[in-house]
Amino acid sequence: MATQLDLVRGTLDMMVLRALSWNAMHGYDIARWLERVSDDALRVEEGSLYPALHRLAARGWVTAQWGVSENNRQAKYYTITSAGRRQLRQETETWGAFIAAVAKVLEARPA
Amino acid sequence: MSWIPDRYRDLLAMVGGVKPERDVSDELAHHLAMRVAETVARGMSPEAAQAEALARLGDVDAYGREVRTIDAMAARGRHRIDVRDALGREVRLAVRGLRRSPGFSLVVFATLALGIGAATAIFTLLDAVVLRPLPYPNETRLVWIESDVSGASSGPWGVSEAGYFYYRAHNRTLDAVGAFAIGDAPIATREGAESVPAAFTTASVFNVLGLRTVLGRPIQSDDDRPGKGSVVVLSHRFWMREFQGDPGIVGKTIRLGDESRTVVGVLAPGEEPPRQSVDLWLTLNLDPASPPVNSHYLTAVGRLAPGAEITAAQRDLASLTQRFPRDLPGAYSVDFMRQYHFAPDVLSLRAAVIGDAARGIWIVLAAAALLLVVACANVANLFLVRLEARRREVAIRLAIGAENAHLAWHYLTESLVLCLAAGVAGLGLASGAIRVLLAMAPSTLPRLAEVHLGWASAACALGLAVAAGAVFGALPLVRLRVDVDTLRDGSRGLTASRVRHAARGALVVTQTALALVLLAASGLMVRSLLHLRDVRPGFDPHGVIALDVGTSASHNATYEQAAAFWHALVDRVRAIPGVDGAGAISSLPVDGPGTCAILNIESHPLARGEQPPCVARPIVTPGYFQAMRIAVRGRAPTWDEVESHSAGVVVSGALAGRMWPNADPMGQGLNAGGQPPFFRVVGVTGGVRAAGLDHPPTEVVYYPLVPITGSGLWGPARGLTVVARARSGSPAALVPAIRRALKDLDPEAPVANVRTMEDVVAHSMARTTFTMLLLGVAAAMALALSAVGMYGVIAYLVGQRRGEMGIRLALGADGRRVTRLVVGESAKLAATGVVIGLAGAAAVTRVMRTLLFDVSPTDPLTLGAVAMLLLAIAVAAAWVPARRAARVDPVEALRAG
Repeated sequence: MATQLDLVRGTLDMMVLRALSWNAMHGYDIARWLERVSDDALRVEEGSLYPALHRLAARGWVTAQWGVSENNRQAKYYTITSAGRRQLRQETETWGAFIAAVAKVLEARPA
Repeated sequence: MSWIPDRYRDLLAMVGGVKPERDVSDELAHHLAMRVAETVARGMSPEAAQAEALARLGDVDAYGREVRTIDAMAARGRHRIDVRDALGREVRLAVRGLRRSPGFSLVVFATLALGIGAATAIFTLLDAVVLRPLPYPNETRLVWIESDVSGASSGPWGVSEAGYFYYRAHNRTLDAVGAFAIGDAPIATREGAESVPAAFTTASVFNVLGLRTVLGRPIQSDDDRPGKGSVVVLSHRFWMREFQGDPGIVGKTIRLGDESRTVVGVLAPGEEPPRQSVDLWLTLNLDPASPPVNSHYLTAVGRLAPGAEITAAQRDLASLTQRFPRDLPGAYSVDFMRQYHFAPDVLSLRAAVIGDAARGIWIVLAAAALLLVVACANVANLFLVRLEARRREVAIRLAIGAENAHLAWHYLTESLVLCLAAGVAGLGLASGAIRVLLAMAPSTLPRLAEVHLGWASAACALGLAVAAGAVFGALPLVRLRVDVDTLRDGSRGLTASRVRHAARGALVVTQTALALVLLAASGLMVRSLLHLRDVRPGFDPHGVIALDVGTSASHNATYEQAAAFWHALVDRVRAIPGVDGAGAISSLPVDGPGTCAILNIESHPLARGEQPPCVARPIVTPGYFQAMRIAVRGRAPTWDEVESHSAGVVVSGALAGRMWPNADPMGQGLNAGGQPPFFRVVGVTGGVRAAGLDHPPTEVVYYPLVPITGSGLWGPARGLTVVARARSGSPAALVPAIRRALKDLDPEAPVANVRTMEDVVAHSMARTTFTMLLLGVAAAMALALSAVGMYGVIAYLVGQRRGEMGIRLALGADGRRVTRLVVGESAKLAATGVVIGLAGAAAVTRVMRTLLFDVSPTDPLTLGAVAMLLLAIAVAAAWVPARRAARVDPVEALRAG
């Protein structure tokens, strides 16, 4: 159970970094983006985004700043740092390798 | 807070911790609002939109908490790093500044480390011996009970058996009372029979002192019933030493002389009776029903009842004591009470244990504090000089826009870094100094085993360092008002400003005055010690060995047996090759006068109601006076007289002078009981200082081993101290032969306390020697520091006045006059310091009165000598710079100026 949770948490962090890799976003933007790009298939509890964001900030992978959003509300914008980009690159590679390996296993025939 | 520069404000903010301005709840609220707005825009009702948005978010509170935890941990980590970085930056800056003037840094560091080290070492000693509670539970409620007898010539007495029972039964202020006596117990060890220190106690002592055992049980009231004791409790040390910590020791029996005792328990490490340390704990087995005896050999300790004060206990016991003549008439007559001013004295246990050691240590601590002040005066001087040298630098910094505050903080950091480093080094020095102190300290100093460098010492060293750092760092604050004019004012003027000189002069004067006080104190101690050395003890201690010998029951049942045993032993010892005289006595001189006994004189029958005096009454064997080289007018009794019940007594000159001022003491009669027959005086000794070198010659009656026919004494001698004089060489070489002689006579006779008489005499001066040594070291250091301070100031002044000297020389003054001018300046400062110091010394040395022997606290010789010494040092310190001033090249000096 724990490993599964960790996997989910790790993937969530990765996806958030991915979201921020184009431009700065606030939490709701990220939620909307996830919703859109996954065709609403990934049902994440939106609240869990915030621990993820703050965790990334604590590790120095993103920075945050309060600003004004499109409809004149105070919102906190997150920006990815260069360390964050490096991390994203590395995790994407690991993830790709993982997926490939799992796929191989699933497609394998009995020996 | 504008006076704090930014980087310190940052530092403060970091240390204080900054609250984030906004919280994750704002983010979540924004998220919620956005989602609701969007859903409503799609046509949903606001209520339904709100509900859906909340559902999509999940457990908002839980997420909020999680985020806050993450943020807090991250903030703590960042914070630590930031503080470290900021401190590191400041310290690096300061260290860089200090390394630019290594001479200054090194001298300040060494001087302060020395001062702080000395103060910390002595503070540690004081803390362990005087300030820290004794290692007993309920220490603050424990009391020591003794009997004050201002009417007797000897010090306070203990408590009698009857008195102990009376106090225990009738007092209303004490929870528990116990009594004990310290003595020796003969025990067989691997090296033969030996006497070990033992406490004979009532069971209640274990309760009062709260003694804990590691094995078995303490002594209980059942063990302490009247009759013969049968149990023993071992000290932890003895158990480890003799039984290698055998865990099965409880229940075994050990032999003590003729008796055997069952071991019932082993005490925890460090559990000791107050004042002494013992190996064995035995029972007293006092019998409340036995008739009261006026003998005060017990030490009583008690625990105050809740809410009771020491003064209340004092009043309580005093009123009980007044009832002694009525309730214990056999031991306490009304006359006795009146003549001896007999009254109980209740002291806190700590005060009783520390005794008069506290005063000496406080005085030494005061000396260490003065030394620290002298050291600080030097350092302050160095800081002032450095500041002076930096005036131009400061002016430039200010001119190019540095704020005063920035500079001030920089100097503060610099000074703190330097002083803290000195504090740490001082702690190291203190640790070494304590090891030396413990090696030298007299064993009469209580609680030495508890002395070690601890948190209190560290706090002392670092506290002093921080205080010094803050003060020296704040000095520039006073002087920072240097204006930019300094720069424009290209030349510095030929003479330095008066104010600056005055400040520096004041420091030198203070230093000299304090050094004088310290020198005077140690000078007085030196004089005391010299006087003590000159005192004639009344015997010749060189080449004499002493050892305590006990006897077993077969040799001390009757006077005749005892006399035969000691006669045989003394003869055998005297027959040892290299022995030039041997004898034995029940209490050695200088160690203390021993027990006293009532003295009745045949020619002066007591008037009605008159009480006889109590006079020291050692038992001696023939040969003793000769072995100790105590001059005897007349003669000492012979063995024949002793063994035929016809021996006379020898009295001391002091006693003879008082009892028979106008008559020949020879042939006079005296005894303890007042009824005939009387012992005849056959000899009179010279003055023997039995009570210590700093006491007048003692009044003594030397009784023989065997009483004259028809009379009695205090029982056959069970143990005596044998003394033997070596013809040449070390008397300690005689010990194996003496032991062999004893073994031939009685293989079970225990031996204890082997010591040379020279050690006994040195031991009695140990505390004076120790105090003198400590004060002497402090004074020597203060002298050296103030000489350095004087040199520094004069050298600096000369440097500042090179131009002036140049002009003087150019105008025709010769070198000698310039030298005189400079030396005169130094002498003037020193003389001022000496005058102030003399006044201070006269005020301060008075507290030393009890430490001094035969010297007035304002001894003119001592004060005069140290004053001359300081003046001489001041002139010598000024000599080198003065010569330099006289050799100034006028042209060069004027050009440079």
